[in-house]
Amino acid sequence: MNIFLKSLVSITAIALLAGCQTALQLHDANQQLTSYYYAKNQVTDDPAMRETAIASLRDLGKASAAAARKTKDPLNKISFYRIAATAAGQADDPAVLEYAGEGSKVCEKHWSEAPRDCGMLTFIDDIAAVDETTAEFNRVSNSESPTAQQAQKIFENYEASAKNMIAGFETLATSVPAEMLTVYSKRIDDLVCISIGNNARGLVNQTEGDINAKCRFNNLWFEAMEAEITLSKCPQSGAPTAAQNC
Amino acid sequence: MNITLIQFAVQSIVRLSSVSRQAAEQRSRNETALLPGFAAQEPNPLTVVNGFFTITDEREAHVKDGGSLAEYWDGNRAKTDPLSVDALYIGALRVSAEEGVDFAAALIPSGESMIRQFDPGKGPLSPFARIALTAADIVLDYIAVDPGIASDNPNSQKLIAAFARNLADFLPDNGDYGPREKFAERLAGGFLRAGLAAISSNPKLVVDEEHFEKLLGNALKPVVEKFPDSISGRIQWKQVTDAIVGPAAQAALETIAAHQAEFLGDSFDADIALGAVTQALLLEAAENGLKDQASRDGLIGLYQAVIGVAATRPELFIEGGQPREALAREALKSFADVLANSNPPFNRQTGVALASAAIEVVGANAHRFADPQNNWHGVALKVFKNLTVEFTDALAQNGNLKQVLSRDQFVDIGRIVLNEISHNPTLITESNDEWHGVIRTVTSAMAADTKLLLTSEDWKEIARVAAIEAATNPARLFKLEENQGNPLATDLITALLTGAANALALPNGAERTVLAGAVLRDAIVFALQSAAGNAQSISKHLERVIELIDELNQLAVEKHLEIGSKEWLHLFRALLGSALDGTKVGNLDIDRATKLLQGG
Repeated sequence: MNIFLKSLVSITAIALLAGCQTALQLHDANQQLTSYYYAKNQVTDDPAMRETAIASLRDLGKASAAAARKTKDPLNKISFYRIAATAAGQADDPAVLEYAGEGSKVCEKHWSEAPRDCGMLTFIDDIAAVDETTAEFNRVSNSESPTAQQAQKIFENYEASAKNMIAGFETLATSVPAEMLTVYSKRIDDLVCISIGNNARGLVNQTEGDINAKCRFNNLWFEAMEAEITLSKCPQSGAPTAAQNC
Repeated sequence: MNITLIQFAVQSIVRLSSVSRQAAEQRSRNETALLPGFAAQEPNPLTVVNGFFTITDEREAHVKDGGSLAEYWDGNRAKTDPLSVDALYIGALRVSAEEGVDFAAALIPSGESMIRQFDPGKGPLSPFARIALTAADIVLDYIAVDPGIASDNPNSQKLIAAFARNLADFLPDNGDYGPREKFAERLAGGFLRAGLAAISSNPKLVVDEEHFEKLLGNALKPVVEKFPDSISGRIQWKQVTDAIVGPAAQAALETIAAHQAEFLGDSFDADIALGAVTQALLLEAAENGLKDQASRDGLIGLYQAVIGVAATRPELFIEGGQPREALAREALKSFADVLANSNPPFNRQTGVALASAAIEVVGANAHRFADPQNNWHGVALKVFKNLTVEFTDALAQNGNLKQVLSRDQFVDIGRIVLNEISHNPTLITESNDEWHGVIRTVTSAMAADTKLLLTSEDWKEIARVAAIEAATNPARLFKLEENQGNPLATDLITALLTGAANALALPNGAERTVLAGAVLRDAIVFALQSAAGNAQSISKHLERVIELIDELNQLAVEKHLEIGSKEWLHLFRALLGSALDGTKVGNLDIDRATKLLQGG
């Protein structure tokens, strides 16, 4: 009995330490994600620093994904995958798709226990895709002679992301925290009204592209309104009243 | 103990630990998380105005024919010259203002957000609530094992309330649990389990919530505050406290049950004192570690003895209203050191029991010391040390003694001596070692009884009488000689034991001698009582006493039909006084003996 109790105490102590280690690892990873994100976005005038921040985000993504694959607790897995996917997305690392996919699979059985993390895992790749398209947009828009083909590709990429995000809104509306849904709506608002409605469509218009960008934008606008997504950054009048055949 | 209870205790430790770990992970998982904003677009102004004036028909009207900005527009898109772009940009600002929109702001995407895992009030239980529920769960499990402590049991309710309040003091409201808080939770959880066990085994125990809360606070809070920062230190503390907190809490509750009056009412001195000793125990164990099961049991046994003193004489452990943890710790440590260094069997349970006897007796008389708060435990330690040394010596000199005296009987003898001596409180002070003389007398006599003529019960009685005589006639028979030589009483008892042994060697002595067992015991008792007030006579006339014993034995063996045990004792009582006065017994034949027996 004595040996048994001693063993039990030792095992408990080790288990506690292991548990604490996971908790600390999660906490640290979460903190690092925020720090590297701000570092990346605050040093835009210093390419070297920005690259360093992006490299850190990429490493954080890999480390968190490794931790997610290693840990047995599904909720810890989900949190690590959320951090991994977010970090990879911010590092423009295609691994974001892999991490988000693996995380979403775990979420199938545990969504209600981690609604924010599971919600984010469904659209974190869209945010990464939008950022990737934005980088291309910035390059093309400010180039000497942007082409219609470039502009159309940018529009279509944005459009695909917007469609995904609008389609996902209905699911998220009943399964994520209200404040998260509000933020998600704002992302769609930004994407549809500014990135697409004003700028991508403006670039297509500017380059004399042959796609019916206005019609397609109006359909996105209409779909968003149908999904009851508040679009405050689109014009307050002139909203489409029905879907159009573009 | 019920095996189900053991199983339950183990399960509850594991469960509470597991919940603590899960609570820490839950907290990390549910920290606010970054939801990134979109990367900012950096559009060319030409792109912006192309987009702005084509997004709706209303806006397009400004650049179409007849519109205010038509001159800067070329068909379906803006003119690309800088003047036109600037004009259109300014025009966009104006139009947005008319629409009630901040154009510049509208073009800037929302920034990042920090998002909670759950909406307020909709998430799972907070880490604190989870632990509280787990504690409740433990109680429910305990009730399943022992329905007698069901939640409507007032004692259970008070105990749980006191537990909860103490735990609440330890844990921050924001659920920011660190290792220190988890350690506090384990300690308090241990006390809760032990408290439930105590209620279960003491149905008459009356738990006073306020008192128990005070006790827990005094016992645990300082220990939690001293929880080390180093990882290895924390591992040791957890292991040690896991091993000791349950038994300690059980002992504390049993002490409360045994001293109900002190733990009820307006005075909290007993709680503070008990808290100080408990704290001392936990710190001593945590900081110096427990080598093995024996050291754990020893420390718990000593703790039990010291809290007995704390319960009845709490002022010894309080100074200026504050607990004297350092004193309690010094006492525990010094006793544990002596215990560890004692020879077998006095380094384990027997030693603990002897130490307990010394602590109880000396502690109960602590008020007689010049400086009661500081000296009593030193004297108790000295008593304990001497008991173990003297008993060890007796065993070393007379190995046969083990056949007569069990370990428990050694303890009984030590306790009897101390209890009787305490009737004369002047003997239990720092300046008086008469008690040592009594112990030496008894143990030396034990060493001399190589033929095992006395039983354990006989030795207890002899020890009792010796102690009584020492208490009523101090500084005489049992005073140690200046060179620490044996007290005079030792010579007297040894004379009887030697005489009894010699009688066995007489022809037919083994079959006919009566000086053994109860007769020998009564003879020793009478001799001690007779000589106690006149110790000088022993040093002067011991030879006369020895002659008397030998004469009586000779007579009893030769005239065994006439001189039995009753007659032997009668003659001894009749002639001892004269022998002590120096009168030779002379020729003691059957005729003279008969006359004496007939009152002549």
